[in-house]
Amino acid sequence: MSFLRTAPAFRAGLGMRTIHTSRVAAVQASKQVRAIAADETAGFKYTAENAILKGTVNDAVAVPTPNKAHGSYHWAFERLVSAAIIPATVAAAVASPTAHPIMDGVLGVTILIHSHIGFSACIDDYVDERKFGALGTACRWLLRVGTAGALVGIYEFNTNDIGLTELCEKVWKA
Amino acid sequence: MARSGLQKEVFRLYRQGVRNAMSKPRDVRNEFLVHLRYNFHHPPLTARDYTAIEHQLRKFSRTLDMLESPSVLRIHVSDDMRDWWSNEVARAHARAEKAALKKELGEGS
Amino acid sequence: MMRSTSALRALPRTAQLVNTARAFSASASTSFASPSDAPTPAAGSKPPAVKEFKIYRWNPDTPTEKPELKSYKVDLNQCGPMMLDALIKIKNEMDPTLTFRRSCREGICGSCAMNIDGVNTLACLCRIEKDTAKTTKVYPLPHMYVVKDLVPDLTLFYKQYKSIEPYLKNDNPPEREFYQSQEDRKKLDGMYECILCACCSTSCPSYWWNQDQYLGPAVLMQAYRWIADSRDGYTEDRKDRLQNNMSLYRCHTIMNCSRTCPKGLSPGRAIAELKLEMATGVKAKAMNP
Repeated sequence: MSFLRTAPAFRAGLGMRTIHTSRVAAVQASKQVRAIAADETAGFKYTAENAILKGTVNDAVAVPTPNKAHGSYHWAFERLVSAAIIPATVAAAVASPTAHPIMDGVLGVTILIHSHIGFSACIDDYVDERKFGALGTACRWLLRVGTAGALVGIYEFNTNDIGLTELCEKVWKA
Repeated sequence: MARSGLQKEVFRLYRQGVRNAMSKPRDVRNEFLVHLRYNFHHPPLTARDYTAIEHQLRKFSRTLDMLESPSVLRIHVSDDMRDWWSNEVARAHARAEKAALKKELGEGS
Repeated sequence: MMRSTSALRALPRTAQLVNTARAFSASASTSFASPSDAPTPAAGSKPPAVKEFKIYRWNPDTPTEKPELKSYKVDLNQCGPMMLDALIKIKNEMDPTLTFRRSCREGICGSCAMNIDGVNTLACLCRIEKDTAKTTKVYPLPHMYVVKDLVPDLTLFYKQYKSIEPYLKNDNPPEREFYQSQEDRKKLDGMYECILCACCSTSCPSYWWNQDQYLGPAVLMQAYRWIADSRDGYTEDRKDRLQNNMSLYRCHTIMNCSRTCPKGLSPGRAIAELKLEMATGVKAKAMNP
């Protein structure tokens, strides 16, 4: 029991002692060595690793973990899809009736991916979860549901109605 | 009690300040605490001055970043701060005495 | 003896100068002020051209007071041609509490970046609009925390700059000087001139909304400056640091950065080339061929 009572005080005393001894050691070290080397002060030796002090107010901002899927691959994919829509639309406008099902599919999917990427970029910019919390998450899910709904809609339009290619042709001729 | 986001942030910063003061050597803790308290009372603000509160939060969190460095072992407490704090303490004592007196009177009657 | 000869020699030259000046004023308009009476304008010389400047004022010592636009009237005939001259004149003669950063007054330090008549620019490179009927409004850089009056808080900007490690990194440096072909050196033109005044970053809407994550045009152009450097050995590592959806890819090629740059650089183009190099590995040719 008595040991338990004294333990914190003992520990605190030890802590103080260690602070004291290290400081005293540093002072003694600087006393013993008359001429301190240029890269050495009070027992602190500068090396390439610790030349830049870390943990001060001047620390650089943190670098996020690299992820190419969110970086250059995403960007390249986005550009490819955008570029692919142009020939797909032109092809749809002048396509022969036999190629319709494939053309319909290609056009529908590329436009859908393109708009999904575009809207998710809007969410990244304006309602990111980092700043808006639940609202951001809700927007993400709303977008996912919307995209899924649009996919079903396009499928229905292609199978049961005139299809996207036919629509392109009509608009072209109109 | 429901607290707004700003209030939570103020409390969080104050706690951080207290934790920082407690990480300093025992004989200077009081100075750190007085400095902390003074900065949370000056300039005097009301709950409606939210832009000013936000500014003070940014300003003091920057100060705290600096004070949290382990090499900071002392802090200067200006005469203003010391006077303000002794005044606060005196007022608190007066209030306590008054309350005690009231209680005594209440028990007497 | 020497002194007197030099004085004698100098005399005819000054006389000549005065003569030409007279000839000019006689042939041109009589209202044109001659150099001698410029400091003390006498009656009948140029009429005062008083222009109103409205300057954003906010004092952190009284944080409860709202920021305000304070009006100052300056006679343009008594003032230098640049906005910075006007600001210094106001500070010297009218209101010493006006606070702004300035240093070199010649567009090389980047201290006096501010928003003048809605455009981010350096006050020392921005001419005062001569039309005295219009007031000129001066604000600090937009969407930054204000320290006082026209002084913005650039801490985060500098921390972001530090995060891209803006120095040469190479594990096997040559024994002697680092050779670089002329073509390789040319790639850095249009990027190394950046003075980090933060005009471009603070004009970028993406940087306004996502300042905490997006690095902004100035820092990204410097990131590319070190990626494009043929002497740097950490090109892939530098690129990897930008491989996420926030640091680089919040740039939507709005191009405000290139339009506002007071040094005439094009951060927008540098970022576009950086994106291309990240995606395809194709090194861009010189920015200014």
